[in-house]
Amino acid sequence: MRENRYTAARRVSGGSVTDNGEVLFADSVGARVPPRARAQVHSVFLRAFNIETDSGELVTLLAPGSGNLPHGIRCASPIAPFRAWLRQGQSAILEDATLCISAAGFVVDLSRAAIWDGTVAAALPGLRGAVPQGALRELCGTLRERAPDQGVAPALFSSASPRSTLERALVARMAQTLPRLARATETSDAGAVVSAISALVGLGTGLTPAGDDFIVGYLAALWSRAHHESGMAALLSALAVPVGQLSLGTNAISRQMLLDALQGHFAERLTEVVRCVCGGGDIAGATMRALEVGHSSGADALCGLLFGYSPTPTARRIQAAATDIHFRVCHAERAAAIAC
Amino acid sequence: MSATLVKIVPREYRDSVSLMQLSALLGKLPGVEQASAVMATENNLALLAEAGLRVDAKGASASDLMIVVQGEKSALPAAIEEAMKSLTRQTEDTGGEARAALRPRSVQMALKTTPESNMVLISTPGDYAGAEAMKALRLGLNVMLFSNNVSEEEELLLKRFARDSDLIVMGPDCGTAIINGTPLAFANVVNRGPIGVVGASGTGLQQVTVLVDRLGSGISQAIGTGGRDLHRDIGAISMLKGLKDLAADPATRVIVLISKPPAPEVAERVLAEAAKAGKPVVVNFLGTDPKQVGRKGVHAVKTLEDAARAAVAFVKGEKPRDSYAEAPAAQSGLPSFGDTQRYVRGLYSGGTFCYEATLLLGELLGDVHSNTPTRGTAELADVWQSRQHTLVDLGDDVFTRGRPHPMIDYRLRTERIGKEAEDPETAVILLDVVLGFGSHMDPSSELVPAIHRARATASAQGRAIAFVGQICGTAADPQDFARQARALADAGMLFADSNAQAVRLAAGIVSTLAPSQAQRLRKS
Amino acid sequence: MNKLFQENRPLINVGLQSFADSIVAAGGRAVQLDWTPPAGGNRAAGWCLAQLLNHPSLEAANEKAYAAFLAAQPVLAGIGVARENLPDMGERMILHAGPPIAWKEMCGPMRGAVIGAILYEGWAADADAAGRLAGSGSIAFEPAHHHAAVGPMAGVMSPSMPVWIIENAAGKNRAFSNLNEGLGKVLRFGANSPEVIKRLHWMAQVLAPALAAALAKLGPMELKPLIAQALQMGDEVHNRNAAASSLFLKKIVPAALYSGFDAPAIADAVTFIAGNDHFFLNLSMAACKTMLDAAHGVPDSSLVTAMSRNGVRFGIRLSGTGEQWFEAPSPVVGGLYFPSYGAEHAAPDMGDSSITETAGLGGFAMATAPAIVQFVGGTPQDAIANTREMRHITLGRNSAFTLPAMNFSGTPAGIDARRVLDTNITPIINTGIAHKEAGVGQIGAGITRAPLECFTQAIIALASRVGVGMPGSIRSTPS
Repeated sequence: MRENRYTAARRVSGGSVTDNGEVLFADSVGARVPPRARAQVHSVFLRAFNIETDSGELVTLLAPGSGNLPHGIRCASPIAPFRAWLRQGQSAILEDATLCISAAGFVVDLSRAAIWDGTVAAALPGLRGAVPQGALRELCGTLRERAPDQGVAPALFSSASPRSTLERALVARMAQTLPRLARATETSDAGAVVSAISALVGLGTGLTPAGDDFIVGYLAALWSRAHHESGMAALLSALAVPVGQLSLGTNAISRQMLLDALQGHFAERLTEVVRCVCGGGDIAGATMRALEVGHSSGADALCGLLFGYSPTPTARRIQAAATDIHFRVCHAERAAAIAC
Repeated sequence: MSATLVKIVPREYRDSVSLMQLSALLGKLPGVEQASAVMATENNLALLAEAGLRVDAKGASASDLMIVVQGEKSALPAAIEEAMKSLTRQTEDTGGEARAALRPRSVQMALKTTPESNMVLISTPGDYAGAEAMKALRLGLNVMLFSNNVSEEEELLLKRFARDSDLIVMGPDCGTAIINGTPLAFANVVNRGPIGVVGASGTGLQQVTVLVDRLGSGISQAIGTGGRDLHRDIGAISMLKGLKDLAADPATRVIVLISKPPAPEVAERVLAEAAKAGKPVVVNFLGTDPKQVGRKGVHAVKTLEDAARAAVAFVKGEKPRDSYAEAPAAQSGLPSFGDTQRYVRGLYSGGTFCYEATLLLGELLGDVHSNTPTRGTAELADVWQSRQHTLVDLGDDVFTRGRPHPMIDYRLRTERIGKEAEDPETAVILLDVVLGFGSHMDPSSELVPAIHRARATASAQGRAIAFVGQICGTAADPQDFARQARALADAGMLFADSNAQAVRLAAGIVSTLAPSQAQRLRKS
Repeated sequence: MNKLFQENRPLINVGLQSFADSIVAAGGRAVQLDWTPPAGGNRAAGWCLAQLLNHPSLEAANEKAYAAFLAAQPVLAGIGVARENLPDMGERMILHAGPPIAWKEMCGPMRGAVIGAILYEGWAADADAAGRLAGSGSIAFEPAHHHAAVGPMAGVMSPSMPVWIIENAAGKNRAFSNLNEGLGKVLRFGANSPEVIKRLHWMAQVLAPALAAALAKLGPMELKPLIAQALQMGDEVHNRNAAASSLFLKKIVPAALYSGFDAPAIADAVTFIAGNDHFFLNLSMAACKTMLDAAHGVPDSSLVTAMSRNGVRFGIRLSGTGEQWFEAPSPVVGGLYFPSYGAEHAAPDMGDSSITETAGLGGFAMATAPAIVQFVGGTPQDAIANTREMRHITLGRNSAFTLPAMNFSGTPAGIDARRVLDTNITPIINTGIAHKEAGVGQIGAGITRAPLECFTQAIIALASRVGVGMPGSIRSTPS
């Protein structure tokens, strides 16, 4: 546990910060959370809520037991559903190791929280060599078995339903884009990477659209490859600004995730998988935990990760899936035409 | 052939699982083939197009939720409705209880939720208002005290405490203020700008702020003090505080002070401070001689309009005139009055307007009766009965007991218009129409029928009546200034830009009426 | 920078809602109060209150009193006889619940209990004679509160009754309570039949010595941790003491067995305690009394240190107003009645047990006791709402007592009479309901509120002690 930069700011009060609400303690705070900010409640979910700071950063408050986020504050004690307390637009103040949403009587004491570092480097102390192919196979196998039937994974594993026109369009878009992205990555052509990514930002289902999650996973692979592959670091630094601009094409929640990823910071559930894949460990277990994020978000990020580690083979898979779907659709249409 | 319907829900964030559940729920509805709930990003809009779905999503942004349903055309609106219901149901389930628990009961409780608050607006019954104000002051908050029926003794106690704590008490009986651009209680929506106003009169403050806005400048702060602030015992504590704050406020370049005649020694103290403000101060102490009030650093004027004009002149770097009074332009389309008609009847909702009118009309015509008498005019013996030139403040306590203020409730005024129309001596009916927050939301809907009825009454008896007035309001006021003006103009009301001009216009009209006859009547 | 001219501060609107609406319509921010005239519309009290708000000497006094309250460590030191332990206990004195009351004013159950106490002491041969003696003026009646003691319901204590002795390990004060007799025909509900008197004698001769021996073996027992634990187990230690009684038993039984005291006596004592889920109530009350007395007597403090009822009047005391009581008629409790009883059978609210609410337990901690929420008429949501509401009239929260149902936040603690008056939120009290006739016993349970009038008087008295300025016109207004 690293030293808490908030600790000096305020002595632990032992409880009563306001008379009007619950005082919660945070057990961990992401390294990218600003020490002080004025903010507004941006969006509220059952087990998490976001505040948007005046400078446009999104900080996520997480229920106990959630995976940490670079811009996350995780509460230590169980609490009522956030939705019972909070409304969009309530103002929040983060300072002196306290997050206070006075209109909701909501106070989180950060003074006891550990700072959590979401970089790949923190998850993988010491440089490693190339990613073991066996590890990737295991990741791929778990994904094929366990990924939900929405988002990128069905496209990757030929299990997409040809019935949903939107899903068909998504597979087609991925099949067009990923081979380009694979080539661009392998030649470290930053311009071409940016161009391919532009077709994925904000794409698909989910609160954080599938395309965004995919990009984040892809970037996580790149950051982990940067440890042993020369040129990766240069590619990543060339992506920061243009992809940062592209992130304006999606919603604020996705955007924050993308911006953190561009700086090399990722969600704990994702870095756990990276650690197991690169450094050995329970890949299946880490993968399962990562899949719990959102409905398909976790799976989409893992597809991105898989793609980032082995771009061309993964791109081929998706092309094959697209062809398969196209065939099935044509076949179905032909069958329908005959029936008429 | 299946159809597609899209609904954009702005700034709606739902977790992915809820979105998936929503899609699943909609997909099961009869007649719906497929449904998706996705964020309205550009790529998703493009994706829909690629999927062959024609979607009109004008104005949608990446932060919005887009619900797309495909299926039988007739089934789709119901599906969207179901989606919206499902979304609001999720919000309300847990909401009500938490909100109910948080409604504050006292100022102290409210401060727990909004510790950054710095002002309390009090409009409780007067019996409790003083104590509420004291609590607010003791908690370090400034006070606007709208309530009336607060004793002068309580006022002094509050204002002294405020002075010692470097806070301000605006009021009691303070109807208007504009603080940091926010109109409070009865106030107009005016542009922000470099002119700060402190007024011991509500409608005076409204008139000046409205005219400043109309002259193209704006208001930094408009601070009310309550009508008794310049009494001898209170000693202008609030006006002096307001003056001090505006003098120190970098956003304020010119200061305007307004009051009915102050106690002379209090006036001296205020003027001495004004002279030291370090920026131009325009003073309108109604009913006092500008020559006695004016001094180095203090530009004294006679009317509210002149105060606004002089202040704007200072802002523009021009030398303000001593007076902006002009003879009113000759009016065309005036009715031909009958022999008996020769008097102005002013029916006011604004006390200060009535007072200013009494001053001006007294000077122009003499023999003016009013329930807000000035030095040299007569007190109206029976406020319910007009006599010669009569100006009545219908906001006086005598009239408002048990009913809302005439700015809100026009009944008293429309009844009185009818009564004046029956009086064969009435030639001009002079009115003020006050817009802004707090006031009646559609004054013309009350006045226009009353004007028509009055004309009918008069014409049935072979007479015609002129209606003259001013609208104290701005284009940004909630009542729609243009519509009010049009409706009243269509009813034949003659407009002036300010109260003072309206009075001069009315005086001009009656002065053309059979002077010899009027003279003779006056003597008899 | 001028405080008034700071931008975008929410305005607090007291009065016409439309003003707040206008401000919001114009793009500003406003907080609308749910306002009613403070002090129930009493102008004089309203002005007193205004002048006491944020008053430096009051704030300092409250801080001191509240700190003493939080710091208090009630410890069960032993068991003794009232006459030897209670301060200023007279030889012919009977203590009762609530503020002072004369024999002729007492309600039925309290009279019954007094008669029972006289019989127990052997001052009269039968109930009639006891009644005559009580009315003769030769017996002194005083509130238990005046002798550092508290008792549930009638709260009657006489010189030879055994009493719990609670000491404040963090201070100097001690507090006392009688021993709980169980349910059914019991003295505290005014029963005085031979079986009742017989039980009282047994309690003095067997139960008390057995407990004394066990406590001597066990050593001082800290009560705050025990109460805290009971709160986690569904007690609010006023109307539900099942967990606390069990925890107490768990501590006392081994000590009793090893004490060397007469084994059959121990068996009887343990059986008696095990059969009474309310056995801990009197200890809970005495513990609360210890904590609140530690906070009593700080000049100028508006902290409420006692709320109690004598079956006719409800009285409160403030830390800063000495021994003075501020009284109002005791309310009849609306609640759930046992079959065949109703409000027409009920005695007005009675007992010192509202000392638990004064200390932030009981009704203030109802959120933790869902098991009895229904018993007193309500839902778990109501219970949580009640606890939340009480936070608005207390100085803070007691982190020693936490509520699992409310995210382990502390119980609202330290009632500030000013806040009660300012919000018109009166303290909530869980209570049992006694039959108005002596000896019938408990006929129901419910929730009641302390009368606002007590707080109104208290604030007027405090203001005159502190000496605040008032407008003359208000001062002359009769309250």
